[in-house]
Amino acid sequence: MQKITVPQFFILLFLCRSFTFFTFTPGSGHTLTDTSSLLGLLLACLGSVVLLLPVWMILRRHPGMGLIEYAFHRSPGAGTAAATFFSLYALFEAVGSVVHFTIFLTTAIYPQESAWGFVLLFTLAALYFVWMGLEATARLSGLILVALIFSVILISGAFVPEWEALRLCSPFIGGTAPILRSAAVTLSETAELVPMLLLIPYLKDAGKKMTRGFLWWILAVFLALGGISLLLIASIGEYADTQSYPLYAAAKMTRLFYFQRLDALHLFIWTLLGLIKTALFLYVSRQSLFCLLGKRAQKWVLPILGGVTAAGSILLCRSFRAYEAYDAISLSGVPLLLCVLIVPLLVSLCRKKGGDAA
Amino acid sequence: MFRKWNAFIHGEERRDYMHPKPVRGVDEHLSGDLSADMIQIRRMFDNSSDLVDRSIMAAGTPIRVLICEGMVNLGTYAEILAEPLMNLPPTLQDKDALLDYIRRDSLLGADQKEFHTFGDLFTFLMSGFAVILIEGLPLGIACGMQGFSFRSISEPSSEVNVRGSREGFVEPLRINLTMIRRRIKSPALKFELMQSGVRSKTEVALVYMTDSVSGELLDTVRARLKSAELDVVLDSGYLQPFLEEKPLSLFSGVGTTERPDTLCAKICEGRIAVLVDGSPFAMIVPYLFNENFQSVDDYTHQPYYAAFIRLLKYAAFLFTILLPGTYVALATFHPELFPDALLFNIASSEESTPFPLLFEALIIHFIYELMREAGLRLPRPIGHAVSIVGALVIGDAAVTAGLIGAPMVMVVAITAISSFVVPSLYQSITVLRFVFIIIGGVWGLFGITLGIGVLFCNLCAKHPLGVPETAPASPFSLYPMRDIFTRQNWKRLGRRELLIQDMPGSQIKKDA
Repeated sequence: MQKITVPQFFILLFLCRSFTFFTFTPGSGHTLTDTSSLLGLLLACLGSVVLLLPVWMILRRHPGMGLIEYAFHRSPGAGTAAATFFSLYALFEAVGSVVHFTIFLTTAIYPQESAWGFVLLFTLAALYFVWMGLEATARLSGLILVALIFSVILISGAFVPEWEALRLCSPFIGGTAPILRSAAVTLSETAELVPMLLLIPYLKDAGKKMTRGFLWWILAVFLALGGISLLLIASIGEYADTQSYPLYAAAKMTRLFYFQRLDALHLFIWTLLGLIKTALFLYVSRQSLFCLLGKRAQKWVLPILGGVTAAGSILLCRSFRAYEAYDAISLSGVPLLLCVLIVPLLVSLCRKKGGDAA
Repeated sequence: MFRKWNAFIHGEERRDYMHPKPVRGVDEHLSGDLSADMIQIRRMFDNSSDLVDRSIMAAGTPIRVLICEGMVNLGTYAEILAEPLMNLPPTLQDKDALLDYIRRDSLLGADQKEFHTFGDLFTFLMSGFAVILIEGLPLGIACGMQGFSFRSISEPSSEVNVRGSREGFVEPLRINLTMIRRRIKSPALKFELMQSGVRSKTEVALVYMTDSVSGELLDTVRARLKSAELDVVLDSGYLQPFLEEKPLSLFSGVGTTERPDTLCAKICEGRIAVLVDGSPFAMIVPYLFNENFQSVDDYTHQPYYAAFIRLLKYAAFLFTILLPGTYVALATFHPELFPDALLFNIASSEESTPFPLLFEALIIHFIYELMREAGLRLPRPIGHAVSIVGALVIGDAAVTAGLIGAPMVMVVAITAISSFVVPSLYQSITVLRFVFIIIGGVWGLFGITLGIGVLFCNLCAKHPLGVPETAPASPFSLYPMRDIFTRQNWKRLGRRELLIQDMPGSQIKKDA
C-alpha cells in the first residue's frame, strides 16, 4: 500500500482548500471581498475543529483505522453502507471541482469555448494522477505548494503599494448575519475534512502526528487564505466586489517589471490546484469502492469513475438548473454534516460483531 | 476487446522471437584425449579461421596451445608462454609433473586459470587468453595475455569539463576498472564480474563500495541483470531497460557516464555502477532527476559559480521544453499577455507568413532536428557544412522568403542552445518539446499546464530502485538540499557523507 507522510497529506489538503476558497460558487453570496468574510473564515476554521471532535474521539481509540475500516470493524453492513456513501460523496466533490474549474475557464479565460473539451481533458489528467497513485500526487503537491507561494508573493507583492487601510471597514457593519452566512458557506465548502477521516490508513505515523498536523493545517488555512483576502480587500476594495474571481481579477491587474499582467501565472497555479483536488477526491472514491468490491474491481473502477465524472461535469456545465441544484445541495452543508458527524455517530452506534455495544 | 488484442500481440511475439539457445556441446567436459578434444573444438568452432593452435612436445607429453588470432599480444605470448614451454627443466618426466610445474613453479601469464568445459575454453579464448591442453588431462589452463588493439584513453566527448581529469572510459572493461581502482585505493571498492548475453557472453562488472552500498539494492541489481535474457549484449544500453522501473516515463532512472571520476563520486554515495565490456558508457543506479543537472565542474568551481550554473541549467531545461509551446500558446490564444511593444513586433512578423503558428513551429523544429541529426552522423568536416547550410536556411533564407517569422527563429535558437546545456536529458527534451508545441497550439496555456502537471506527476511517481526520483526536493529534506540547486563548499560538503539510502522517502533498507 502506498503511504505518504502526514506533512505531505496536509499540504495536499491545503492546496485543495486554497482551490475551493478562491473559486467562485454562484448563489453563495460569498466573494471574499469584505471584512465579514475574514471573520467568517475564522469561525469556519473553529467550526471545523468542533465538527471533527466527535469523530476524532472515536478514531483516536482505533489508531491506524480510517472511517471505512472502522465501520467494517463495527459491522460488515455498516462498512458496506459507509464505503458506498463516502465513495458517492467523493465522486460528488470531484465532479464539483471539475465543474467549478471548467466554469472558471469558460467564463473568465476562454469565454467563447464549449465546456466539454475542457472537462474531458481535465478529467483525463486527473485520472492519470489517480493512476499514478497517492504518493505521486502528494510529492507533486509539495512542488505545487512552492509554485503557489511564489505566485502569491508575486501577485500580493505587486498590490502592497495599493494598500489602503480605509477600505477595511468593521466586519460588523452589516450586523452578524453576513458573518454567520459567510462562516456557514466556508464551512460547508470544507470537504477536505472527509479525506482526512478516510485516508488515515495511508499515512505513515498517523497516530502520532495527525492531531498536530490538523491544527497546523487549520492555522495555515486561516493565516494564508485570510492574509490574501485581507490584502485583496485593502488593495482593490470595491472592485473585487464586482468580480466573480477576485484573485484572478487581481492577477490580471498586476504589473511586474516588464509584464503587464500575471493572469497566466494564476491560470497555471489554479489548473494544478484543481487537478490536485479532483485527483484526491477521485482517489478517495476509488479506494472506498475497493473497500466495497475488493481487488477484483481494480481494473474497471477508475475508467468508470472517470466516465461518471466527465459525464456529470458536462451535464452540470450545460444545464444551469442542474448546476444550481448541485450548488444548493453542496452549500446546504448537509452532505458534509452527514459525512463528518451523522454517519460516524451512526456507525459507532452499530452493534459490533460478537455482541459488543458501542 | 483488450484480451483479444493482447492475445494477438503476444501471438505475434511468439512467432517472431525465440529465446536464444547456447551452442550445443558447450557444457560438455574435456575428455583428456587431445585429438578428440581438438576435433570437438574445431567442430564447435566450425573451423573458423581465427582459431590458431600449435602442437608442442613438452616434458615428453604432447600439448596444444590455442589462441584466437588478434586477441593475444604475440610478444607476450612468445616471451612468457612459448619460450618457457620450449625450455622446460629436464627433470619433468610426465604429464602430472608438467601440470604441477605449470601450477606451482611457472608464471605463464599473471592471470592463470583452470577449466574443465568447452564452454569455458571458448570464453577464455575469445577473451584474449592462451589456452593449454595437455594430453591425458581432462582440464585446460588459460593464461591471460590480452593484446588486442583498442582506442586509447581520451577526453570523453559527451561530458567535456573545464577543470579536472581529462580521462574517459574506453571500450575494454579491464582498462575501465583500472581507471576506477586508480582513483579509489580502498579495499572497500569491489568489482563483481558476471556474464550477459547467451551468445556474446559479454563481461559485465558491478562496481560498488562495500562499506556504503545497501545489500538489498545490490541484490536487486544483481537479480535484474541476471534476468536479462538476451542473445547478444553489445552496449550498456542493452541492459538499461532491465534496471528501469515502472511507470513508463520519458526520464530514465538509470544514469550514464563516460567519466571515471563521476563514477567514483557516485559509488561513494552508495550507488552501484554497471560497466559492460565494449562500451565506454557506465550505468549508475539509482539515478535521481537532479543528477542530470550536476557535473564534475560544479565541484571544482567556486560554490557561488556552481550554484549559478546549476540554476542556469534548470532554467535551460524549462526553456527548452516549454518556450516554443508557450510561445505558440500565447501568440495563438492569449496575445493580451504579451507586453504591447513585443506584441506589435510579433504580430507584424507573423502577418507576412503563410502558415499558422503551430505548423510553423513544428516545421522549423523538425528542420532543426533533421540538421542536427545529419550533422551528428556525418563525418565532422561535412557535418560542419551541413550545420552552416542549416543555419543559413533556417536563420536567413526562411525568414527572407516569408515562410517563417523572425521571432520563431529566435525561439528555435534559444531552445536549441538551451537543449545542449543538459545533454543527459536531450532525448526526453526533444520529444517533450514537440509534445508541448502541439498541446500549446491546440489547447493554449490550459493544455500546457495540464501537460506540465502530467509530466511532473509521472516524474514524482518514479522511484528508481526504491528512491523517489524527485528526492530530496519532494519528499523534502533540508540536509541533502546542500547539493541540489546550490552547492555548499567542500569544508561543509565533506563533513558528513550522504548515502543514497538516506534520501527522504527511500525504501531501500539500511544495512546494520
